[in-house]
Amino acid sequence: MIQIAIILFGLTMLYVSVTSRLESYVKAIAAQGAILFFLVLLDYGTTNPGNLIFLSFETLAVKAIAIPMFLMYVIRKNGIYREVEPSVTNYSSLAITTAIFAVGFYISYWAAGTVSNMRPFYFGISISTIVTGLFIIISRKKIITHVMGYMMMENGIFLLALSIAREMPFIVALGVLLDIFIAVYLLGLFINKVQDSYSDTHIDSLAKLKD
Amino acid sequence: MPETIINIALLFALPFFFLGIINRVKSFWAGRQGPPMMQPLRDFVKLMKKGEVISTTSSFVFRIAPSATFASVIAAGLVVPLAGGRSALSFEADFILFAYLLGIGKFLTIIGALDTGSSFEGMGASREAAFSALVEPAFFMIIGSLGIISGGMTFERLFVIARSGGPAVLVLPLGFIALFIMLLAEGCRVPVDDPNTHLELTMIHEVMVLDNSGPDMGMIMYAAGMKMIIIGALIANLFIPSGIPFWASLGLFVAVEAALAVVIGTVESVMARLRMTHVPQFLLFMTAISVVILSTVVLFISGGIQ
Repeated sequence: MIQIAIILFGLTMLYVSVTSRLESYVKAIAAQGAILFFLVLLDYGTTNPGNLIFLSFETLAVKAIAIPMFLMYVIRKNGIYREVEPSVTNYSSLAITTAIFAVGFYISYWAAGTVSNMRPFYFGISISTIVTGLFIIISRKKIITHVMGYMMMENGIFLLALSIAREMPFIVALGVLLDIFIAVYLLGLFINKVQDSYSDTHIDSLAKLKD
Repeated sequence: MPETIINIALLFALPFFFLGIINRVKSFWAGRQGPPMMQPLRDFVKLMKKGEVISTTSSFVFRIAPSATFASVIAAGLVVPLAGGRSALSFEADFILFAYLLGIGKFLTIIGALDTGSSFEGMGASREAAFSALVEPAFFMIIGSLGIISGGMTFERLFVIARSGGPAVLVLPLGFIALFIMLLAEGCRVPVDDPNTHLELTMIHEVMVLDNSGPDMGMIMYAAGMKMIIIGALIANLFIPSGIPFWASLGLFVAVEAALAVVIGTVESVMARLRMTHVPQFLLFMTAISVVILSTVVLFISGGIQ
């Protein structure tokens, strides 16, 4: 069950690397948040119930619901063009992601032999997710896709933390939650874009006045 | 022995039902009455009774291509395990023969299309060749992963042991997605190709058979349906448990094939054909999934997944 959830997590990254709609990115991020929620519930062995409640709330409410909704709101509000506009073709993007996954699995295969206290399957998928997130940041042109790539990278880091230690100290868990940082990013984007688009709407309304 | 005979009968009978169910599902979603279930069979019989028009520019290649393609697909169907996980012919490394029998079929269709001298058909042939080249490595990666789990070298053993193995729970859903993409690509269905359009610019498979008519056309249709049954059989074998009585397995097999036809019909009703530039991405997605399957299996064997 846990393995299937992790595989689905990996599949969302493959899907993101090939799809060309911004909405699909947002949906993939929401799906990743939901999968992380299930992983926290199923697999997070902790002695501190407050910690578990906090993490499950954070993954479900923030990662899976609030941020995707806010992303959609920003996209709609700012009238961002819905195509992703990658600087490499989707085909090579998927090929590169596949290669990243293969290398990630190879690394975890190699690490499984040397490090004992680690779960290689988690590790392989999370390493691949982090690198794929980075790749999405460098290969897409829009600012909002950069933020989304960062978001996926951060989900990967969360998964990595789960892979190395089943139980995270509370402070580490807090450090992993970069969502607040993301929120700052998003707000900056939101506010700047509003200022940008103010003149745009202004011009539009001038055009409307003409007829 | 009776099992083999039943399997061969299934191989020949199911394609008509498969195409019939797809058409009925499509008409259900479109709110139409739809053609009768046996319409593909009637079409086949009708085409078999007709004469043929053969272009004067074409040579003997064009004339033998459809029947030879049909023969190669039947041969591939004899190797693949059908109901009860039993194939009519089984020997070491038969899956390699299977892949290349399908390959021979495609090769003959392609040279048959090129032989007509039509530039449209040449275009379709080039697309078909490119897309088949993308499907093949993924197929071998999936078969290779099943081989690693089961240690078997024949189709039958590959599937029997793969179903009971530990990583099966991971391989089955992923294998289903990948093989389903292969089914859509090989069966020339939406979103890779549209069997209904006859616009040359958007077609892959249909454009290659524009010049065929009469019995040749009938055989091409039959072979396309049979190919879908064969790849559907691979999917069915992933899910049907081994060790159950033959009749139960037979029922499950037919049920899985029917379910696949329903899914294909639904997919065709709810989505449009992909743009030609997006088809390679769709097929590469299958390869990506196969890489994940292979990596998962290798990790499992090395004791990585607890």
